[in-house]
Amino acid sequence: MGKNIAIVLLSIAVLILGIWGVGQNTESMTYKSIYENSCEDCFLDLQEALKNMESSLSKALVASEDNYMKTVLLDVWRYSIIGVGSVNGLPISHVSLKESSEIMNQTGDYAYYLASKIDNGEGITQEDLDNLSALREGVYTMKMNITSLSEKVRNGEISLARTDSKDEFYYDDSGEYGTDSAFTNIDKESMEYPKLIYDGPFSEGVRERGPAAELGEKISKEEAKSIAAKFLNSDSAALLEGGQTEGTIPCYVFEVDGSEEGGEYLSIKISVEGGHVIQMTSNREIGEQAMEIEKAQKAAEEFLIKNGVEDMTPSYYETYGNKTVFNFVLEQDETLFYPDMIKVQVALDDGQIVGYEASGYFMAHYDRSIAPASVTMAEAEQKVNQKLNITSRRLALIPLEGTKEALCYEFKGNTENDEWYIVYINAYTGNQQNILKIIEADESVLTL
Amino acid sequence: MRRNRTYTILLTCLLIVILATSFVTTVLAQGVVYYGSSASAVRQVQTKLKNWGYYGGNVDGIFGYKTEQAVRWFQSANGLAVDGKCGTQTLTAMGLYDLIDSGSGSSGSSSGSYDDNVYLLARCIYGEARGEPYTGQVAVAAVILNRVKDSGFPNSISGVIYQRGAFDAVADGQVNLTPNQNALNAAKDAMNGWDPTGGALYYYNPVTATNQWIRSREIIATFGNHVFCL
Repeated sequence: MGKNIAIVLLSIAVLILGIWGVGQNTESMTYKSIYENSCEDCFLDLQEALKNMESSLSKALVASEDNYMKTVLLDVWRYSIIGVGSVNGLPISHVSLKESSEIMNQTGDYAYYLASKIDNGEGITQEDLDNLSALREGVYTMKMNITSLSEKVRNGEISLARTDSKDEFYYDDSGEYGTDSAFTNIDKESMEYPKLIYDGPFSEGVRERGPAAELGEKISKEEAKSIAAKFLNSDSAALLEGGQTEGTIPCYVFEVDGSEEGGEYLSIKISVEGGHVIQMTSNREIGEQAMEIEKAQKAAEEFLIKNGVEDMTPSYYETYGNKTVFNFVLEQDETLFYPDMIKVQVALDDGQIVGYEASGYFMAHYDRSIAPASVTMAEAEQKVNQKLNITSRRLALIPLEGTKEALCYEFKGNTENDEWYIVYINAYTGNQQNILKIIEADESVLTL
Repeated sequence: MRRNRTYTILLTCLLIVILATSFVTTVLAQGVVYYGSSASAVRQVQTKLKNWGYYGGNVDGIFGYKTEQAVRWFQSANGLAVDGKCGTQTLTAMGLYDLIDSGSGSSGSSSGSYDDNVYLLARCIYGEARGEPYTGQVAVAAVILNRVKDSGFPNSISGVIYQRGAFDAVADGQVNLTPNQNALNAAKDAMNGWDPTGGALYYYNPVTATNQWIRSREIIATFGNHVFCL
């Protein structure tokens, strides 16, 4: 009896497992084909983008009229964005894709820069054209590489939809995956790719930029330690040495580690040159908010003054995790210098300083000799949209794309439905340089 | 003989139990509020149903027969498939969105007040570096943001995080864990300009990394178990 029941039960179990297995298989086949299709889609988008980038670049090189040239340059930029998006949607190691992304990003960015040059009435120089021509070569080489990969994919030699998970963290040095090596072959060195220095976010100039500020003489680790202790208002014996960082501003690192007792972990960076406090982070647990934002801001201001940082004016601020980040901007000769920014974090339970960021300040700050504005404030105000009811006005230096800056009049105002905006009018050309929208939420005042 | 038979029966029962549990866990994992769901989730469902007059019992956090009947009534009254279970559609109709993913109604840091990109960044930090000192967590976030700004990488936070092979936590699914407040703060600090590394584009754990390529990069900073490089 028992034997029969066992056989019946077992058969049912096998049957159920079988049905389940078939279901699973069908499901995984569906996923596989969706995945393959999306890889195919990205790959075709990439080919299309490269083809269009190349043809638009060719047209730009023979264009004889500014307006038309601007149109095709903006096309290059538009297709480059599609290209970067689709190449990075492919299942190919990020290491292999680096140079391809660079070529497309920089070509697009450079084309955009030339288009805005035309807009500003500046002419396109022979050097610009030489660069464009070199970039076209780069895009062309890339296109040819992708075309040969495409043939292999079509012949079934290589599959785009790579599903392995073994050590794919970096790149496939075994050459097992043709997709990876097809992209690794695309490298700027072999194609006489130009070194592009221009005003755009992907300029080589931005990548190689060091601090604009004169930092000062080198100091020793011991000196740095006492600067850190003074800044933290603590005993230098309590500071652990955390090594050094290189990078844009080389620093000594010191730490306070109370994490084993469940306490705060804090680290502070002091610049090797000049001994400036560059940064401080802390994860101190912060209790419920117990003070007004105004009081916290006062604490941040007093902290700056105590540490000899002067002429800083509070700008926008943001609150999260019961702490507020206040952005302070350098103010000199009644002008705000937005690039020269220091950020201070205040814990809203007891007003303690829990974060400090001055690397942005030292990267940007130098003694600028700024020519006086050639447009008057009244003239500039005429340029602001009539819908805005202007409540305040002043001079401000604002950062532009890349490393450039522009002196502007800053007008703050609101619309009828109480939306607040900041409008920047260039103090030399009278052109509208930028518009920021002010967002107020959750004890924060931010700009977009 | 008899011994064998007992074994067979035991084995069969075991198989059935395994199948049944796999079924139940699938149902629970899909964020369905039903028999056996966590009290806090059931309580939210009961409160809603009671307020709207579908449920006459106590809000006790136990999914019982009365609750099931109330769910069925709610479903039929709202034109939903009537199965007595609170699945995605039923929970959406009730406005209990936060129960849809978790099913258990687990508390954690609420994602509500954070921008989607910040939340994704925090998830990546939590998946990659939750055991690291705080500065090391901010540093991981800074690497992601440095890549967004660099021409050699995608131009968005999600593009960088989901790039193939870029982050282990994405490959093994740890990126889908709920981040804690520390990770959220680290994400926000990095977005506000805190970069402890001074411009790093890569990082790795020198104890576990075997790849030659990554070991050839120039190291510019060390925080916790990670070295950061250009």
